[in-house]
Amino acid sequence: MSVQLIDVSHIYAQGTPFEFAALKDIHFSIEKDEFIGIIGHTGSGKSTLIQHLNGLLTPTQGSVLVDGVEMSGAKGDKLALRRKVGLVFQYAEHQLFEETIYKDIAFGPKNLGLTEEEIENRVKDAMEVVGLDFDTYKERSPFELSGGQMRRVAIAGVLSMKPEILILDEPTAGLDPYGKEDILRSINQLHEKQQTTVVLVSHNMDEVATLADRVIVMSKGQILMDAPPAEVFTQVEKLDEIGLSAPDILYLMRALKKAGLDVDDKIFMPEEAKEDILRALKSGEGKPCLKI
Amino acid sequence: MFKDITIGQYYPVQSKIHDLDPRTKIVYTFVYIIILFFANNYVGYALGVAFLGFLIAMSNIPLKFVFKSVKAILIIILITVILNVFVTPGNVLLRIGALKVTDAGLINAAFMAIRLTLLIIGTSLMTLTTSPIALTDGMEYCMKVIPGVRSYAHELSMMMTIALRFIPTLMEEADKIMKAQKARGADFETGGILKKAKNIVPILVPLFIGSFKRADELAMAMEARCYRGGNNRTRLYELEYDKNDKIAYIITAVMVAMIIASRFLPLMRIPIQ
Repeated sequence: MSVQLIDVSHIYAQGTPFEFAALKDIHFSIEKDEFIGIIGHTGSGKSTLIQHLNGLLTPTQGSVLVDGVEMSGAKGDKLALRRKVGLVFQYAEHQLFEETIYKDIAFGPKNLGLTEEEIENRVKDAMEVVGLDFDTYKERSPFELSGGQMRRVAIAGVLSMKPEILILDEPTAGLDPYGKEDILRSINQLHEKQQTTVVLVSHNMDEVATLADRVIVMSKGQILMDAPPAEVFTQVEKLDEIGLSAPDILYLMRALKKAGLDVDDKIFMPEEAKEDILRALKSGEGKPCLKI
Repeated sequence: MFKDITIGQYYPVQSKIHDLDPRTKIVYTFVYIIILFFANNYVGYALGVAFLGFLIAMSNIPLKFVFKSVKAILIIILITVILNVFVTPGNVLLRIGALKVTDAGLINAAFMAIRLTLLIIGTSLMTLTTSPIALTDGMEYCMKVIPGVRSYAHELSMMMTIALRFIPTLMEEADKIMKAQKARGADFETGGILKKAKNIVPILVPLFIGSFKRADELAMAMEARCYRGGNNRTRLYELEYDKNDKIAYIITAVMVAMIIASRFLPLMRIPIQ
């Protein structure tokens, strides 16, 4: 399925002194099987944007088309849309409410009116994806888990609805490095094995750089760039200007080049960087001792 | 859905009313509420309307916004009007079955509606022109004057400050949780009362847990900064009256005098108070 946003604008509290234009003329589309990273500063409109994708917000102007069908306004079937587009909010663990983890993850499928058997299968699948053992955890209370585990339960709660498009708003915010890696690995697996379209909103450039195959940069409610990571992250000056930065590796490669090592300063993936640095060092060009 | 509540909302614009000392506004509002019950004929009410109109004009707040607060109690006003129209005894003007409309009832109903509207607008004007922090500051000062409450004044106002501070946060949180559950297919719009009440559980539980956690963290943060109540605590900004406050007090006094005087005018009275 595809989602299209056509000239979407969103104004909060219109007609009051608190009026604020969060989105201005947003125009883009999401196609099947994409892995999109959305980056931008706090207040750049990322969260407002993704809430338009599953009908939680309706545009003040413009329209949202899902598979060519208008979804904005009262016309669209919101429930059907939310069935297809799963949205994991920032600090998703704050939405947990049930007595047991099983019940909490089953909340979504239950709302879809599925059979008990199907619900159990879905809960099992979702827990497997996020790396929680079904038999160990199903009867436990979600509130006795660690922050990272709670986050995973919350993500499983959306996965159990089997969305065709999965949107995650800062899924790794506030987690320790291991927790971050676990969650990102799960998301990547989902994308690769089950062909789920993923939209990942993040502050962390390294995350987006390694996972996404298309990056959208937002600034002040507008789309500044919409291109593959290689194209976006090499425009370091432009990113700096709006208070964002490129992945750390890119800065390392630039510094190495400046110091005289013959490396490619457009590399931002850790693995590629390692290969390239080793190659440059072995080829013997440049000074043996670097001053950075 | 939570964004349209105007009672208790602050409307940040520049005006003479906004700049008044919060104590002045609290005292005025208090006096206004009491004096409204002294008005017993249309001159008194006209005065009440006139003074309020003057304040609204001075406050630079759009009329539309001021009247939004009346919308919230429209049902209460309607019930009052209907009760008054049919229940007040007097000369019968119209009979509908067992119900009868009297002249006294109509007059009473009209006055009641005006009084309620003035009460609501008068009080919401205070919150519209005073930031929550200034308001609780003013209340603390006012409470310190009342014997018996004096020793709790600081604690009470601190509680109020914290409560006011967290209202928008809680609303935002509720809105966010609601959206998160909607994203999981929850439906808050359809169904009967029982189903709707049941549907609120997925919002209330996370909201309560979040609030308790937040309260705990706030208490810890306050203690970490050596908060120990109001004893010997000094303030960064002391409240001080200036010329405009004195003028406002004089206007308040004039209003009181005029409305009380209007009672003695031999004009159409409210039949039953």
